[in-house]
Amino acid sequence: MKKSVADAVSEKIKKGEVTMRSQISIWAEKLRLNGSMVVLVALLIVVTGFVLYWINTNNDLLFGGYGRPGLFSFVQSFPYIFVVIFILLFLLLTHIFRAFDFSYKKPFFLILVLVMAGVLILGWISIKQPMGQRLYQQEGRIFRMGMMNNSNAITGIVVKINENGVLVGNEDDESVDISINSDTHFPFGHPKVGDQIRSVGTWKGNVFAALGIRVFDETNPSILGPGMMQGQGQGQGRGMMWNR
Amino acid sequence: MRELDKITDEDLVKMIMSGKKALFYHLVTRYELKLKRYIFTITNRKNEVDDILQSVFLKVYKNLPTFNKEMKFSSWIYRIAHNESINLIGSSFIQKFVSMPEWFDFGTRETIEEKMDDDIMKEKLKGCVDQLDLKYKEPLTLFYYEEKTYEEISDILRIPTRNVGVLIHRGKLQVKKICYEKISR
Repeated sequence: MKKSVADAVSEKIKKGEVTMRSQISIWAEKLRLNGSMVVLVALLIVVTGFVLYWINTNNDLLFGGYGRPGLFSFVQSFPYIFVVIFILLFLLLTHIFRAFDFSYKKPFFLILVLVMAGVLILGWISIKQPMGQRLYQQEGRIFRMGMMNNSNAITGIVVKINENGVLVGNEDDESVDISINSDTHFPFGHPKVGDQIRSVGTWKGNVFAALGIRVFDETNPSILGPGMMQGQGQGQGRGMMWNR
Repeated sequence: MRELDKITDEDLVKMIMSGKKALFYHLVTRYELKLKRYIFTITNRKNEVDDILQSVFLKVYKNLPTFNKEMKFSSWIYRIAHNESINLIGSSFIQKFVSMPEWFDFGTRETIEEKMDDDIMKEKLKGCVDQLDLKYKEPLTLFYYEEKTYEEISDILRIPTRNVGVLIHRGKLQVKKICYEKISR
């Protein structure tokens, strides 16, 4: 005769084939769930920080009004990978969120919006902190963030100033001729030898015709410069977010 | 046995947790029939119902220490049965093609009006639920046949309470539509 489900289950319990979960395994599961939430939120803050730091250090491209070259330069150098990472992490966070009871008892999307807002605010705060700035500078180089040396932008240090332009040495130790004319825009003053600059413009043969040149110097607030990239972030200079 | 019948599920759980493991048998007998029907509703696989049911009870026993005392035990056990059933039938895409059995004959409500409404709805459901989407079928079944409240259904399906109402309302509309089409054919 076939056993009833109740009999079969009771027999398995009696024989010890099935046992209740231990408190340790329950705590471990809780820890894993809560820990992964904390780690994910922290990662989201860092990723947000990278993107905001990039925007902060490249905002001359966003607001400089350099027309298509400025826009193209922005589009080419935008750290898309971090945006993709952010979206993936956020999806993962949403998935883990659903394991918690509040996910259906409280307004779920409102909670997600609040988490998103919190992450953006904390990311923004992190780029104002020296520790955050060091991290974003240092790691930004590894991720080749900013890559401003593209078809519409040049970054480097001024090595020579001519009548019609400047000669800059870029990160690859190459010299680039930047031509200047009467329409070239200098929102942060004229460069001098040794200054770190970024120029938006277009290539004309071997010469880069500058539409605008931004000079980075000590007065640039909140942005630690290439000096931070040398010797494990020991430098004091301020300036652009160095590109590599 | 009668003494045990007076004990609530939650108290029974406490007693089992305190070492009286044999009492789990009574917990199983309380839910055996209800869950069998519920699992069959979702899966429509008669041959596999007992296996799923056994696996549900074993999971319940194993996870008793994780039972949230703020929740009703019945909601918790239905939730486990729901998960096990869904695991068996797979994705929500497949669920759409799973039909509902027509052998319901359980459940009553407190007031006469509720009872009448429920009886009418049950009769309608019997003949028309075959084509109902699982997302409507499940809340309707839980509400009309398992006699669960919106809050309990919310805990079982892990959806907000207001969505339970919406699903039941839409489900009823779909039942009416299906029934009407059936009659007019």
